[in-house]
Amino acid sequence: MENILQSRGQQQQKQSFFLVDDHAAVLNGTAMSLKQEFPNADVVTAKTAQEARQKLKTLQPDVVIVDLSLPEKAGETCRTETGISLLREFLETYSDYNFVVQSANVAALVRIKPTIDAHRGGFALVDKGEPIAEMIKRVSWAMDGLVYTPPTMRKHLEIKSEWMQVLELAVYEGLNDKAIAKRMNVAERTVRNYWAKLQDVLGVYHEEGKILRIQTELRAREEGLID
Amino acid sequence: MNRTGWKRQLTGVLSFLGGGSSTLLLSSLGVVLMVCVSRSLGLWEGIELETLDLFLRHRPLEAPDERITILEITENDLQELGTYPVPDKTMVELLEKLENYEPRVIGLDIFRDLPVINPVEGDLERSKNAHRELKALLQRSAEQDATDIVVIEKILGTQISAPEGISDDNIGFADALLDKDGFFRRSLLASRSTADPDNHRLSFTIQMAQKYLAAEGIDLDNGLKDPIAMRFGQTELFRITANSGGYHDQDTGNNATLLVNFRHHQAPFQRISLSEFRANEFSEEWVRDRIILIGMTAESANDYVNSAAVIHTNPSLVQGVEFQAHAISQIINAVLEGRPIIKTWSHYWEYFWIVGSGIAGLSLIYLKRSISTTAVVFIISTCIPLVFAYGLLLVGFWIPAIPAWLSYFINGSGVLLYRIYDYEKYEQGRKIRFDERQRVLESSYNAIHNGPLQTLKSLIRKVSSQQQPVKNNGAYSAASINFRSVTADLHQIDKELRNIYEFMQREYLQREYSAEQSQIYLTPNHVIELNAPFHELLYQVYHNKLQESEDYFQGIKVKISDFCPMNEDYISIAHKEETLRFFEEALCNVEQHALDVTRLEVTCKQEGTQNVIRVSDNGSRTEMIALASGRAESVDVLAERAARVQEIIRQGDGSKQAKRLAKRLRGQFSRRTKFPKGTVCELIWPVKPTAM
Repeated sequence: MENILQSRGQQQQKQSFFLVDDHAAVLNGTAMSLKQEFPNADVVTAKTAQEARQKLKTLQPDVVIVDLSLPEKAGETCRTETGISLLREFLETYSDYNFVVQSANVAALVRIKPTIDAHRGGFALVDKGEPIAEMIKRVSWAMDGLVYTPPTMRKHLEIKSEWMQVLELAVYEGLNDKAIAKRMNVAERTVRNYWAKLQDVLGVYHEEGKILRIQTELRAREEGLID
Repeated sequence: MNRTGWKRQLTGVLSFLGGGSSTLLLSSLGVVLMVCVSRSLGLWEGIELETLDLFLRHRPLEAPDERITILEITENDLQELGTYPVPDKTMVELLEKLENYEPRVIGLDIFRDLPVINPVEGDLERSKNAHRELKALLQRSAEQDATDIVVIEKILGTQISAPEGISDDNIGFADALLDKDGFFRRSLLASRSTADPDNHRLSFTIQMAQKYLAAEGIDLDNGLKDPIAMRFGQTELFRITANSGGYHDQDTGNNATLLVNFRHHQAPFQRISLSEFRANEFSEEWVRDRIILIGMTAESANDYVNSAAVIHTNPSLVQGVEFQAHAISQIINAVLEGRPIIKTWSHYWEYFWIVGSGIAGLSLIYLKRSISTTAVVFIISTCIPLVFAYGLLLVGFWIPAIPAWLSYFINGSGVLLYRIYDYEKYEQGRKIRFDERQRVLESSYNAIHNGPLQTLKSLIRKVSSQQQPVKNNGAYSAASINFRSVTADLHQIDKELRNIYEFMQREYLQREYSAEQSQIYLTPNHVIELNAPFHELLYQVYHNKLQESEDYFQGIKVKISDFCPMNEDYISIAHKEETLRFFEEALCNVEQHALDVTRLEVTCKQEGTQNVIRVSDNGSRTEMIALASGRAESVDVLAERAARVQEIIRQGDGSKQAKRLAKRLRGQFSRRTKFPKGTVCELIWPVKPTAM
């Protein structure tokens, strides 16, 4: 763990996080863990969807961490629907921000999968039941623009044609990201996002000592996406 | 029993009042009220009087009255006499000769207050003598054994007195009351003189009748029902007041008047002209024991009145003497023959009758027949109020005919219009109900098709594919069938079938009661919140399908999907729902009909000005294989082929539904085969409903 973080030199930078959760206990716990890992980090919190909307307008956090079960205003009951709406809105409005969704109700996320797929920034999901270390790991992945969705969401290897195109151009023609970007007439950053999406679909994540791109190609062959 | 019947009747009436027909009820009440109010204001008087004349003119003919003879002095007589007025001498001769034939009463409907200076006689003194002679003759008539002669006077307005010295018993006034429209319909029976209000006088008519009836032993008396009215024996002369019947504020001079029931005949009275009389050209019976009315009928004498109720060459002109004859005839015939006196109803009854007619018109609503039958019944029945009023007039009652008819007519036509309107509304409602039923049918078909039928099909496929190798080996064995999995599938079918009822109930009953529908049940087990963006809804359908038929879709290696926001400004909730079902059906079709699929592409997005839903696979069509599989070798193969053909037909149904949906979205649906293999199923519709 330490190694991963240190190797990326994240401790040197000053990170900023935006935390949205209705439970004060969870907010404090999460904020504390983040501070432990990222001592220089700024942590801003919001307790309702309304407050979150207001605050995010003026912030530019490295990662937005949201709970799905939220009240619209203070005093109202928490509803997954509110969290989903807020997340959808954030993903569309701040399309290159990095998001981490903290929720016990992963199934609800399936509803907005098209929006998640279209999102250009990092995106990771963490179940509230998972250990805090796992949460920190996902946060840093998201910060790196990577994508992580739980296995239940990617059971069927659903891919978009653009991702497929990136894969084909890389494997069959041996192009690098820059060349692919030029060929597809998109930004290089977008190509990297497509790789991240593809890796998530194939379940290939950063592992010490392994080359991500090669792993991705191997898995794609295994799954029959490429011959 | 009776009470429940009553209650039902009452709730029927209440629902009628509260229902859509309340407008009808209100407007018809308004109409009836308007008729009643306008009548009480006298707006109907003219029409009612004209109707009365019309009815009287069109009664069945009566026999001529054999109790009255008119001795008329015609224009010819005047020519023959060579003088006018008729000289007193001639009058004396006439009266003396008449007395010889013993008439019962003689009425002299000619003023004789002053001596007539006869230029033929040339001598003033002679003329005065003749007048004295006439007076003496008239005075003598009051005596016991002499024939009664009644002379006329005028007591209203300009006074004209009877010849001097005649007893009051033998004088009657000739004044008559004109209706506001200038016609005579009433006969004045008694009145106070304008010159001397204390002097209560009887009319010529009543004097004549009284004298005639006295000979029958019937005397004039006050009424029993109406003390102010006159009465002969049992017959009360119905008193017409200022507002009786159709009259409104008529001048009655506060006196007894009688509505004249004209005798309906071309020549109701025997006539003898003066010259005929002098030449003895008449039958003795025409005079004996009769009423003889002597009057001027010569046009130059100008003794005419207006009446519209008698048959005449010139219906509006009636000789004064004939008018008197009609009035007298009416009284004596009423008393002696029971001929009807014309009476009117009290206002309560009149308005009851008008309102009743209105209600009768309104009650056509209860005629549960076709509109055309109702119309025929209505048209025929409109004459009922008129016929009733006419019939009553024949027996002596003058009731408001036209106001009653109008309130019947307007209410009846109102009912008819309402029925037509209601019928159209009903037809519309029927159309809506039909569409609704159609939708229920379609969605129940969908529910079955997308639910249990799918499971059943996969079960069939499972079973038949497991049987295949066994058959090929030439030995039958059921051992290869995985019973556990079959049982699980059967349980699944059972569950799905049970869920359908619940699903349909939720679908249609909830829809009925929730104005804003926020979720739909795509399948019995799958709820979708409709307020999410459309492409997300479509994705949910896709995801759900993948989960449901996990085994099949896991087998497809490449699944490319593209769900992007679509313009949904112009798509209704109902259409959204249908489109979702269409999409699900398209995915089902891949599973059902495509074999060896390795690549599945699903696109749901906006492309330019169009929304596109496209499902594209690269599999071969099962039915093609079935049809190309060569000759049938066994019963099983035949059965299987039959099942496939069924499937093709079913799929045809799906296409039909999809085409209908495309039409509703003003878009297009297509299902085409790809080269070298595969199928594309596509629904495209414009973002804006009208092509730009």
